Amino acid sequence: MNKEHILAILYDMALVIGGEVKLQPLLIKTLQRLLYHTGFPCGMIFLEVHEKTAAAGNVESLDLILDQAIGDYGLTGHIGKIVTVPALLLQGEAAVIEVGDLLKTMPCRQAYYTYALRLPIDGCGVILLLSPALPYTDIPLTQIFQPVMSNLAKAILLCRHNEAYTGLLLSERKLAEENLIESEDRLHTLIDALPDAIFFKDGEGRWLVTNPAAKTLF
Amino acid sequence: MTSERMVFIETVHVPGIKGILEEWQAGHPKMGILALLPEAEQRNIPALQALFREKGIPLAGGVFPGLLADGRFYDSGVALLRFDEMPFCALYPDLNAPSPRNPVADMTEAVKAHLDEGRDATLLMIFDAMVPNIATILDDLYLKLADRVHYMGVNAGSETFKPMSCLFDDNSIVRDGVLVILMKHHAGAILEHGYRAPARMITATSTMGNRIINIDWRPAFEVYQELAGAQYGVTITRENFYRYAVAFPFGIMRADGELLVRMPVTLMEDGSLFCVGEVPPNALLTLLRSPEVDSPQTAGTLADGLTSLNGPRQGRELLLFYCAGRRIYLGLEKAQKELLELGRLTRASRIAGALSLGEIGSSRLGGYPLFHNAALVSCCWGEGCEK
Repeated sequence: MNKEHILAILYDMALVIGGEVKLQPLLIKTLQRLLYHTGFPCGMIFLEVHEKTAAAGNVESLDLILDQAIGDYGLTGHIGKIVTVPALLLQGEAAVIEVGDLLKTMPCRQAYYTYALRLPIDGCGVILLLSPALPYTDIPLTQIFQPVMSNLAKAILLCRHNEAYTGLLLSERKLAEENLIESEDRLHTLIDALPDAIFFKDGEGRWLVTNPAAKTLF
Repeated sequence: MTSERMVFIETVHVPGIKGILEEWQAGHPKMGILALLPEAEQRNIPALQALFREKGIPLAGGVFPGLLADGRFYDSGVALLRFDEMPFCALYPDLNAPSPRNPVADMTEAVKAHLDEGRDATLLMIFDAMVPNIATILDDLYLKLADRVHYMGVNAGSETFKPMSCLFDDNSIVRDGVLVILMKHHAGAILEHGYRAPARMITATSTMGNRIINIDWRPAFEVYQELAGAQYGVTITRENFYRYAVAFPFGIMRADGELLVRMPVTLMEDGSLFCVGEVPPNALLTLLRSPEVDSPQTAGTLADGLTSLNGPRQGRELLLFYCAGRRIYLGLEKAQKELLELGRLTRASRIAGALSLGEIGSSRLGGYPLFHNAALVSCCWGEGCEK
């Protein structure tokens, strides 16, 4: 495997990560491309590893929300739910780990996977890829994705900011629309309550608004 | 009554086929048929459909550039592959027509409803080769079905890459779609191409959908003309493009050391190159100049893989799809040698199948379905194809 091959893989991953502005599509696309490139059949992402590790200290396992999973039907049914994950799988640098019975607490296929490839996302979480065997490759899988993971960490933050900002804009717009409706209701109530005749016409003489007092005149 | 589940008939002769069906039906009243036809026989589909309706036998099938049976290629005839009990089978036409419904969502719901808990199953997909987003559909399928099924598939259609209705059941003939068959109690398929990436490569630098626009920042056609001129001393044209382009396929490198081959098959009006199978947007591809093809390794990997899936059983029947572009690149003699070698290594009682325009199989580690060109994909045929 030469440098050109590795650069082509990293280029593809960078394009995928740079092309998403929402968090879940970003996680799905990233996992899909990692599975595609490594040939591993199963992958999952946990984003809150570092917060939970800091809070829990030195423990054997962590209860974490499974943010995304692909390739294992049992796991995909637990996306968004809490899963108990051995700390040995989560903590440390990028590494290939022999899973042994480490997966017994997890809702995935049992006695099937032999290896896990751990890819930390620079303080933003951990990606785990599972496989029954290791690929025949001279590419150092634990190292080549490091720049991609750094970019992914930034992309996750940007997506979160984007979603928070978009959410704020939407809630502000909704509030403004509610205020407008309330203001119009108040004005209509006032016009309807006045004893004087009030009406509006457009430039072509069509009636737009009339209050009850105006209707008594015609 | 014959115990064979697959027959190849060199001439489509309806009364003869009727006799075979009646014999099979007597022993297998719930049977169904997967029929493979070469493009020269497409006109016979209505007659076959009428026969199957008359006999009340479910039919599914595809039209391919050619057929293969027991070490030879054919451009006429029909291969009939029997299911003792017809499994779930559905045609999804017009995958690219605007529709409020996502066909992949419909497909996955239907497949899930027919799965047996805890048993292996293989999803056989026959796509029209003109569907431009097959890799995206595979991504979507894997997202929804994950490891509930093994994945196997091929592209049907004409070797001239002219659009044609190439997928059928007992009532309709469709194009731009996919035929899916859920083969229950089935351990999956093995795919291999044996292409080796050369040490030096040049890169495709601009792609869009199925088209390669630039190679090394130059119009793709210019580069192809130079290559064909230097290597074969010929002027490349729209007519001879496919014949020479099979010697310069594109490769998509993956980190597990496997190479995905993409054969450009048509020169477009604007000078871009049309590939069967999706090319990732703005992909950085490699151009494989006259790649080395390891035929013994291809046959060996397929045979070993089939043994690992189904056990070392002699006398089984195998379904095999062989890339049409690979046959052109290797030449008929070498391609037939590959077929014979596979027969020898697998000790299969019968191998039948078709020339394909794209092949789908799981990665070597299982699971993730990948779209290939230039490959062979094979599986054990019939019930009892679990290990």
